[in-house]
Amino acid sequence: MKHVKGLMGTALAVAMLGIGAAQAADVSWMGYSYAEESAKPSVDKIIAGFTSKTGKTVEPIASAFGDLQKNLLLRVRSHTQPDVVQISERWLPSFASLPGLVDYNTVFGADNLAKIYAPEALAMGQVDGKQLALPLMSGSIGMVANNAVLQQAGITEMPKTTDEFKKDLIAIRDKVPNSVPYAMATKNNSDILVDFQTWEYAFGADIIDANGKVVVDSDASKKALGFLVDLMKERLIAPEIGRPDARRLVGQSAAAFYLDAPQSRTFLRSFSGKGKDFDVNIKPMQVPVANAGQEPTSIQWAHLIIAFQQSNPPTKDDANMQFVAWLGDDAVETQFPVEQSALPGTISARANPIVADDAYLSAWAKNNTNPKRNEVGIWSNSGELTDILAEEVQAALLGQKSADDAITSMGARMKESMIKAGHAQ
Amino acid sequence: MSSDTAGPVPTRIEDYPVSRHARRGGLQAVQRRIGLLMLAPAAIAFAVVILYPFGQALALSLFEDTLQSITPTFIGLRNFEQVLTDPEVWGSFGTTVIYVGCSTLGTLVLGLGWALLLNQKFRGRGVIRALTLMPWVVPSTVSAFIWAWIFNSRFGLINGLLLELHLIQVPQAWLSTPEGAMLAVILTRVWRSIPLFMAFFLAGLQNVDTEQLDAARVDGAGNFAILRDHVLPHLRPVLIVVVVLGVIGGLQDFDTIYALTGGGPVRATAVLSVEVYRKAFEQWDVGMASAIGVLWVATLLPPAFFYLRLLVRR
Amino acid sequence: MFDLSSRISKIVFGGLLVVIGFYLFFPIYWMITSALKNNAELYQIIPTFFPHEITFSHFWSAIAESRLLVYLGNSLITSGASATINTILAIYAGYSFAKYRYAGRQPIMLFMLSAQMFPFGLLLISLYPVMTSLGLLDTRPGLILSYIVFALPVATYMLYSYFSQVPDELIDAARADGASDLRIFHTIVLPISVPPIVTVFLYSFMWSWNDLLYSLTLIVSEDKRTIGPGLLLTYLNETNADWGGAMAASLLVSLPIVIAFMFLQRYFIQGVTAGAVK
Repeated sequence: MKHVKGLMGTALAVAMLGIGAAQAADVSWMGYSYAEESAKPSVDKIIAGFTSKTGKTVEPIASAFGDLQKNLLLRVRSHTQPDVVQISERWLPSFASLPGLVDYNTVFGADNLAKIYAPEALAMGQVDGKQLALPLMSGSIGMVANNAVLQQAGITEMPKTTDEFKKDLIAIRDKVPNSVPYAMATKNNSDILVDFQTWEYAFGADIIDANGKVVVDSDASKKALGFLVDLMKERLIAPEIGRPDARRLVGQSAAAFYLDAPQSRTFLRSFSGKGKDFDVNIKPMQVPVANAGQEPTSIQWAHLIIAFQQSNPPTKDDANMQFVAWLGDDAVETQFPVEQSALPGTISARANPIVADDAYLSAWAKNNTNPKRNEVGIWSNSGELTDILAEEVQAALLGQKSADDAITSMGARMKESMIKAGHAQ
Repeated sequence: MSSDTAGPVPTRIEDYPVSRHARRGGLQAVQRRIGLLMLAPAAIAFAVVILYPFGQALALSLFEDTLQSITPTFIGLRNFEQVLTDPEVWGSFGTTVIYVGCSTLGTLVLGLGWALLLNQKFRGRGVIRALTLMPWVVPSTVSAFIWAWIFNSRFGLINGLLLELHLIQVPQAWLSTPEGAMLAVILTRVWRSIPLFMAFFLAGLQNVDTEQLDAARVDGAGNFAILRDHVLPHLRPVLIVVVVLGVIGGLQDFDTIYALTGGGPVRATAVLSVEVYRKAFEQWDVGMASAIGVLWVATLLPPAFFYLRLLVRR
Repeated sequence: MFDLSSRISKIVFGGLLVVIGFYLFFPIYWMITSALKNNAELYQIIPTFFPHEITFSHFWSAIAESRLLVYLGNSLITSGASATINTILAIYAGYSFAKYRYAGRQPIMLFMLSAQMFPFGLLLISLYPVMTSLGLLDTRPGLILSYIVFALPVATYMLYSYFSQVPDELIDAARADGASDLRIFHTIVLPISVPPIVTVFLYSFMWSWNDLLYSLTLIVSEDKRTIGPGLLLTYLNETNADWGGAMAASLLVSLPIVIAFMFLQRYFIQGVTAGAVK
């Protein structure tokens, strides 16, 4: 009996060692692109390029987009953080206080970085004067239309104002049976956040100001939400739609408009089943505004690269810093972002013909000239803020509350959350 | 032996029914050592994966431990203060009671009904019994997928059927209404749990004394009287076990709800298991999450303890 | 048990059989047909009851394009291993509770059972650093150990309940022949306890098999992911809503266990009958 147990214990220990042993690579890179089947080969190419150039190895750690924040934080809590991490720009502030995060200014020098990276993309990686992240690719979340659906509804011009937008939506509802004219995100809290925020800007409203003061409880906000509630009542938007559902609907020409990052093209190609032939239908456009003449806004969007120091203080010669520098190289920047239908973060890559001549990317850039910061995502308590916002918006859209009540309650709850997070109201 | 024949309730540990040879005098010390030795591996595993983490959580509930605070700070009972004054947490308690109550009751009724049906002899019974285990055997994510697809607002079966029958004019978003979402998660939960309950009830039914039933039938008892007076009383011990399993399963159920509704719409299906997860892994308020969890245990433990004694003492 | 000679009782019996049977089996049918439809037919407002045109493309792409088989393998390994460990632990603990008497026996058992009510999510928060310090984070052994949380107490209780019914005479007789306690247990008690042990194994297995929470959190690497999070993250996530693929993949991953259960279900019900419910 004792022997049996002893044997089992040994076997278990051996198994653990065998399976648990970490591969010792020079750099571990956690990211969500590696978890996406379509982007994986591109990531492998980046790594192979780095290895052939420097002889150093990279271990990619895949983590699904929706899971990465949690995985990274759990790893930091247990002191097993990866060396380099691909993150979404809206997570940066919540990661900014993590111990060991590299300020790239101290490694590469602020002046050098300004020479390499496009200013607005570089700015997205700054927190309190520190350069905590560098852009891998950038762009904005803006509106995309499906031209095939517009034609079916007899719409020839893109709507400029919210009134025109609504009129077009009605035409689509009446002429394209069983469609969701505007595939607004009405489920998944982080999706709702982006859509609602876009309309807040379109109505000239704000949610939280730069100092952390909650300002959502305003007439403009009430109008914005009221507008969306009205769209729901008129069946111009539909419940139970998340970003992926919206992509599928637009890809299958069952919806005319939706909000997405420039990666939209890659998704729509795949969801339509038509590949590049579907490109003619994909039209980036300006987000309609409440008042004619108002400047249309979109929301800043980027994939950023953060790193945890390998030596103290970090230097250019650290393997992970070499890798970060490699990610800014033209070899990577003229390829990976384009494959993902997004703008590169570096100046030289943007000037490269591969990027500059891409009609879709330039149309995107032309229509989204005024990207605003994500006002909610940037706070350290953004998880809670996002839940509050989405719950209140959903409650109004589903008719459980009036738009006005929902906004008032959203304001009160957000204030409470901000106070708890240390921002006086 | 069943509980209805049990004697007076024992009041001291020594009075609990124990193996006879365990009482023998001289061997007692040796016996005790063997008993403890056999218990040890399980006890160690229990301590490492359940007890120690729980103790940790208990401690964490007294700390402010959020994203900003990499090192937690002690704040005494302030988390509890916040939890207890938070209407949302109370809401979650209510939602949990509804979810666990309805799904356990639903499974109880349908599982018992199904067991009674499959206890009759008819052609094809063996096949149906075997197939019945399927809902239990498919992974819970899969069952959530299936039901989400059936309830889907655009391409779902339920909408299609109702539209076809002209009972509704436009597709309804069932999972976007609080009632619809709750109904969907309960239906899924019940669907998944019927097989296990059925197995337990079927087992209980094997012990029903058929001679007694025959005698009752000769006395003129109908099917309903047989069910009420003979079968159900006999199933009482099974019922106790099944309720425990049902409540544990329901309370701990995270996967069905997370995969089906994510706790929404708004907070309609945010049961405590989802609430703890969200607080801890989405909002990164580990202290608060722990406080909610501790409160949950504090609410449940006393009744659970008394109820479970029914199980152990038989 | 019931007399079904009268017409009305036949109708009630048949009616209930159809209604509950429909609830139990129709969703399975719906999963199968949905997996067999092509996208054009699948994404219709009014669904078709039978697929007009049967296509296996969802199955091929599920196998070829995703890591379905990897997930499946991981789930089988982790669930199988944790169920084995659980069952072994529960066998000894259950027998100890049933046949030996020592101070604290009753309270320990009660406490263990009550602990089954501790929220798993709460335990997870603290299990994470435990796994990290043991170097078991993002490893299958780590997941296997964590899965003990799910079923050990109930498994122990079930076997305790069964072993309590093993007649003491059997043990006494063997002891009179001079056999040691462990020997008696291994050579006499265990061989007659196969059905309840199978039941407990399957019960433990199903808990791990269904897990989403732990695997979602403790496993980061794609190649160690289990089916719960694997399916969720592949088919319905930030970038995808592929119902046909989800249904096909669901069907594929369910298949091995469904087939295994077809054979084991007899034991399972026997085991429940013999053990847990007396």
